[in-house]
Amino acid sequence: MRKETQASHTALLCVCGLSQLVIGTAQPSGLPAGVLILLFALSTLVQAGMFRMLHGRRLLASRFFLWLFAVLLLFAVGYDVVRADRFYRAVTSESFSFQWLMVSMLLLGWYASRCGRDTLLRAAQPVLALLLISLAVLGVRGNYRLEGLLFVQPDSSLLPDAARAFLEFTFGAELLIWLYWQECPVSAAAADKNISAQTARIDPAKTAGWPALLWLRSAVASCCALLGELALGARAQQQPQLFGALSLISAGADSGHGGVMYHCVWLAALTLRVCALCCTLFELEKMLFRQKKTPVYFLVLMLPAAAAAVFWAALWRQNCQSWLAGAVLVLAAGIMFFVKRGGRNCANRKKA
Amino acid sequence: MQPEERMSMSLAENVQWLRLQFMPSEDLYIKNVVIGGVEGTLCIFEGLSDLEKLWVMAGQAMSQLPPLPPDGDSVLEYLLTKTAIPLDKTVAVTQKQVIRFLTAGAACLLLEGCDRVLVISSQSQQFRSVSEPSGEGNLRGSHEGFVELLRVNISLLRRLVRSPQLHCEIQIAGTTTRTEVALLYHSEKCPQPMVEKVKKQLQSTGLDMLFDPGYLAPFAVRTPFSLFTPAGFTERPDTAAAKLCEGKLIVLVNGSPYAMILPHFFAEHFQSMDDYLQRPYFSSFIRLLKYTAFLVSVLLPGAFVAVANFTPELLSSTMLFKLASAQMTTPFSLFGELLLVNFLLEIIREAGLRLPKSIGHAVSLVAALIVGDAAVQIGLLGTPVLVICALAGLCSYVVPSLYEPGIVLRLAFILAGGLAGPVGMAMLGCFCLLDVCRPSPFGIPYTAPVTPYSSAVWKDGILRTSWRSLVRSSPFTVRDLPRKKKKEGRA
Repeated sequence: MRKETQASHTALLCVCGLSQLVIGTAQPSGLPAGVLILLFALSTLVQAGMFRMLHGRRLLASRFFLWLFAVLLLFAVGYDVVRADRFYRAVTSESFSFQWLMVSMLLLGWYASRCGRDTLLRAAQPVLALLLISLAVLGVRGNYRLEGLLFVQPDSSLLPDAARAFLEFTFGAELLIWLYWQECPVSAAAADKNISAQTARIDPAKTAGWPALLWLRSAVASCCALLGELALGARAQQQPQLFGALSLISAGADSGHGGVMYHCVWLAALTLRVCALCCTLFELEKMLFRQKKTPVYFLVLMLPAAAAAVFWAALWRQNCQSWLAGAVLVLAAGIMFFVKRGGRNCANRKKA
Repeated sequence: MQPEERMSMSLAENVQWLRLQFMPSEDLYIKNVVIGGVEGTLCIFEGLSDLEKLWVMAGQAMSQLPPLPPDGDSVLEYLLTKTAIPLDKTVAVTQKQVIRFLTAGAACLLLEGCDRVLVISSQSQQFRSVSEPSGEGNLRGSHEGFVELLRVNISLLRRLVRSPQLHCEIQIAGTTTRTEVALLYHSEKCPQPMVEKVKKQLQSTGLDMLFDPGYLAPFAVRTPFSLFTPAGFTERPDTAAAKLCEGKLIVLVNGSPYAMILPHFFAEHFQSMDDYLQRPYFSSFIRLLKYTAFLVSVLLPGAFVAVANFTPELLSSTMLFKLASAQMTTPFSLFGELLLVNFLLEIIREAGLRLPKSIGHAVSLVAALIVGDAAVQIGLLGTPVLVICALAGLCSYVVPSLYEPGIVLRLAFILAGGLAGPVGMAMLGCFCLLDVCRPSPFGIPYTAPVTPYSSAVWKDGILRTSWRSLVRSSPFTVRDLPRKKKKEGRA
């Protein structure tokens, strides 16, 4: 892989990972920063172990797995739209129609999938630069107080929230997207060698830097939780959008004019993540309907994404996050099972 | 494809055919002559070819021929090989060639009993003298600009790049206009597949008429609809020569003083020849200034309406007060006002551009009085809106080559900011980013070397380092940029 391509891939992976962290899902309400940091570290250990298990296996070997992956992506798209809506409602007093937000994000996702994977890879670098600048500025300019930090009290009432936080952080769709984007070749060179997304194996050499990326993700999430508590103290546990609240507070403390800039950059990063998800969906669609190239099949996939978004929005308003965590867990378990089965089948065929 | 029809052996038939082709064109001059005892006919187009020059050059040589066998072929061979008449390097043998040479300003000599036509270079076309380009001013460096005549433009480039590797290929495009198109490239620095691809695409345009390289841009770089075109244009021979040295292709069209540069990247819109003649710190500063001006011209009005309408708490109280007091006096909303003023500015610009210069000044005066003064005084428009629009308009002139996408994007951002606030701005920003990252002419990203990131961005991209530093690194050509073989995306 060329150096530039590697850098672009890493940039996109970082945007996908960081966008959901800054938007606020990595800081579930109700838990002190100390607990969250422990949970994030534990999750990262589990994730690293899972990726080690996948080495040498075929990611998209079975058709059933393709469908499952597509469904997971649909839910991820829907959930991200809900995240964007929640974030926007939390950081501004002005309301914006959820339907319009969903339509515009899905349209952008469709456009991104038409543009292709390379366009997204190129677009990721400036967005990542903006994202990092916004985080750096926020980190420097924030009004933090050490006395805001809370002591971790072992309490059984924290367990449901902790379990949910652990599941959400461990089985996020973005991890599969990372793997897919890193591992599935679509280049002409790969096609010449008869390597397709379905026959490509997960190469341990290529994913050597993954543990570092996973730990980086965990570190950023921990920082978000810590900074939130430093700035907001006990109120941080009641804030569903820690980073949004933090940005408003620190921007307000300084000049009072910068908050909207952070929000625009973070929304753009989340939109790019949705675009990456849609682009992957589009590529899966090509694999699923190889003989039929009409774009109507993409609509077949996109319409459920919209339905999923509405569904998750409804769920969220009823405060049923545990449903979401459960669904993600079931899907992730299914994916792991089929990846393992695909790997075993391949090995058996090889032996035969 | 049908074979081209050859000229006849009979002079009468050839003359008859010529008359049929061009009559009743009054400017076709046909004169019967006898050369070495053989009947012949001289044909030229008045204005394209100079009759006096033709007689001075060829008249004497043709009237004093030694005794020759009285057949057309012998006379033609003698004139071709043994006289000092300035002849074209090729002899026309087909009817199409004869028409091509005649319309290019050459004189054609048809002889009895000979199916070949002698082409005498007696062109005498009027053209504008080489002068300073009107749209690309420079403080230092060359003050020469391209002119409308293709051969002059080629010579201007040849004079600057005196290298045997500078190749010039000429094609004919436009089924009706039959315009000459020159393709220039440095054979060592320009990738050969790129040259072949452009040649093939230019040959298959199917254009009926061609007056400017702009006609060819959509065919040369076949990207789907995008706000940004990966083809650049210049009026300056020194800029075109510099691009040739970077391994790019230059397309010149007869009748146009513009050269098309292929491929052209986004970062190049912010570069000018002056950058390389000034101190590097100042050049870098100017480039950063241009980037900022472009962003201000595109984003400022949209951001202003988004913040004022959706998050007014982010404005300072003084600003908010001034804005509110200005809005109280106007009948339009802030959003409507911004749209109106931007449309008005564009109308004024267009009116000033197309009208004769004397009336153009009057348009500017009327616009300044009505829009700038009267509209504010009667309370039709607010001062803050006018200031914002004027600032954005001013900034858009800093990068003239990006004016077209800039103005469309500015209006789009006003719409997005006015209707959807920060969400709209973020979404449209994403769309623009995807759009600018999309074109990939010849497999080289339009956004190179910014993204995919390359260290060239600090050497001669967003910033510029000194010549000493640039010389130390190997000369930059398009071969050094990341390329991809496969056509990406579906669109």
